[in-house]
Amino acid sequence: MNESKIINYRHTPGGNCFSVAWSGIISHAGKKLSECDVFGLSGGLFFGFFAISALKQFNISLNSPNMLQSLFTNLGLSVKPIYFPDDESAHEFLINKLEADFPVAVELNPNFFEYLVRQTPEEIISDLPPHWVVIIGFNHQRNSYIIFDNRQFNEIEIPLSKFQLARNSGAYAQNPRNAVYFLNSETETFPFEVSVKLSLSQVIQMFKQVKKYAAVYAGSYGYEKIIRQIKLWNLMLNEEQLIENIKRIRMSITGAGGVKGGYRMLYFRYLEDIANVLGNELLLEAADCFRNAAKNWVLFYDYLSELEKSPYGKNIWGENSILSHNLNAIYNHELNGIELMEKCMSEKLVSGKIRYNI
Amino acid sequence: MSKYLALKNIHLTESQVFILGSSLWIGLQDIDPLRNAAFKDISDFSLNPLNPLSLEYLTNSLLIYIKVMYKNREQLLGTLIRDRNDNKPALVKLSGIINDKNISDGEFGINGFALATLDSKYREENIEKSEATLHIEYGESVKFDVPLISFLNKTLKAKKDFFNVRWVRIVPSEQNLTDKMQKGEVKIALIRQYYLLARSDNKNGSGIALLKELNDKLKKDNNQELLNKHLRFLRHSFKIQALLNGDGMNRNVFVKGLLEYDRILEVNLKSVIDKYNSCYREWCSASNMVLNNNNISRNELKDMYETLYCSEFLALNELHKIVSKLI
Repeated sequence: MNESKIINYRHTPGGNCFSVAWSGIISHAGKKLSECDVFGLSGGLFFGFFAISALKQFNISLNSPNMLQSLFTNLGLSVKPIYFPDDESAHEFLINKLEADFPVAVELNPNFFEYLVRQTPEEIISDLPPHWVVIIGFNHQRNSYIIFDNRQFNEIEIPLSKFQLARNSGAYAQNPRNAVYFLNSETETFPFEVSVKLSLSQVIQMFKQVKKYAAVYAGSYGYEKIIRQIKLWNLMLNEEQLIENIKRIRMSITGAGGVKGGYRMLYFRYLEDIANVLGNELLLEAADCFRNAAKNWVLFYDYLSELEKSPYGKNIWGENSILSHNLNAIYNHELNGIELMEKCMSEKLVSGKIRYNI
Repeated sequence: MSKYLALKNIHLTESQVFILGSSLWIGLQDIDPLRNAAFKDISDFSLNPLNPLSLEYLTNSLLIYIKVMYKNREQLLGTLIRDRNDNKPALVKLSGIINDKNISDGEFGINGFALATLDSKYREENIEKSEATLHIEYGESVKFDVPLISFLNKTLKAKKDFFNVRWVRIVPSEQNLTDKMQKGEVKIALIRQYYLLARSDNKNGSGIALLKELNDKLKKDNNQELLNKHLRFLRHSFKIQALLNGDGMNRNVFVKGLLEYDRILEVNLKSVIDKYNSCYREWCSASNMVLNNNNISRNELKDMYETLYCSEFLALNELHKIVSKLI
């Protein structure tokens, strides 16, 4: 046997590696979920302002740091992490699963993906999170894994030695430590409207209730903090630090070049989809707010690109800072969206007939 | 867990942790997962009254990270030593087999969290001959020592999708658990709890399907050997529960949690509290009957299964009514 390979796995490329990988895995198990569905059901929408003033390091985070657990707990899937004491037992496990026709989503050290490294400024490569891919096969002759990457249409092969290194190396936050989250054939989920409601509750809670999440100022608190602070960066940072922080924020807005509009387009599509499925008009209005936020994130990203080249122009900093103004506009769109979602939650979510089910 | 979270400045009672982890459960726990499943029958299992994913549900409710420190023996020991030097216990999940004469005559499967402290005898150079012990604290009343080396060997025996001990570190968010925030979290936890129980199968969930299946099998097969296997399964299960958690399959912890959250939830929880109190009493009475009687007839056992089935069924219905108001 040359290959252990799953032949009927359907891969749909997309922007967010986590959502694409798990959309493929859950769909393969029989529950069709798109990339947007996975992003939304994971409570993926998030705003965080990361600030270590003493080190002059600032960044933003636009997708939730807790998507994996939220996805499983909101869907009611029984997925537990499995840890392996060594690379060999991890390899044996993966081969067994492939032979039993189970694709497996795994994280890899992002430094092993050339395009991610190429698109990320060198000084902030260590900020890249682990990269999700789906393993669909193993070529025994060439001794390499066959995987799908979210940014590519075709499958790619990674030699075993490189794969094992990517699975068990890197800085603390980038090392996947061979952990596997394996979804078995038991795919019975909570009723869809329940999962939706849980995911919306989480996003609202994170946006309005949580002030600080680990080292990150979260939601509206984070927005208010960065809007107040960013206009003073020219006084707090030297030119080199200023440019480095701008680069860092640009990378976060696009997820190292993968998505446009700070993941807000994904959330817009999720809300639009569930509004249609559940027949809820108010959710459509909320969806619109996130579409507008996405447009503004694109403009903000472009503005930062200009700023990176010349960071000291007129009205960039100070009381009338364009940066603060732009962020404030984004914040208002998102706050409106969240408040509309909150209003939906106080009503019966399913106001009309369910048109179709996943 | 409650005690460990307090070390991280998150102050929740045992019952509140139980509710936030959607922990209410009746499932089958494999006594020895390393043995071939093909040769197993009911007496190779015990009843597990804790959602196996409660840590995942709890940390998701509380928005806290879990960083898994476990990889190999050195790292595992490193974690224990670091925590001992910081004068803190480590949090471990005991999900496999512990063989300790202080608690049980034989091996038994448990599923739960414990605090573990390495004693001061540990010296790095002679680990194989080490006489060091791990002090395990499982709840307020159950504390025991396990030789370090046997503990490590059991952990390293871990294969594939089974491992004995998982080491977790929790990095708390700095959120202040206000009433409003907790209300949101408790609502989410109870909704998840109901739907986890409602779609239960014959091995995991509310216990309703399991109790029905046990009863049906006993009805169909009038065989003394089967009756003995049921009794062995029940004695084993209730003995572990009596030693670790008390007799009521955690139904009392759930009730206490509901009482503690009654004020912030703003829905009337009285009926669901009454029904789960009734479940608690039925499980206590079942445990009492099984552990204190040597001669239990088939009919007595069938009655017991039916009574438990009915009380769990009624309680789940009441939980459904509450969750319908929350959702």
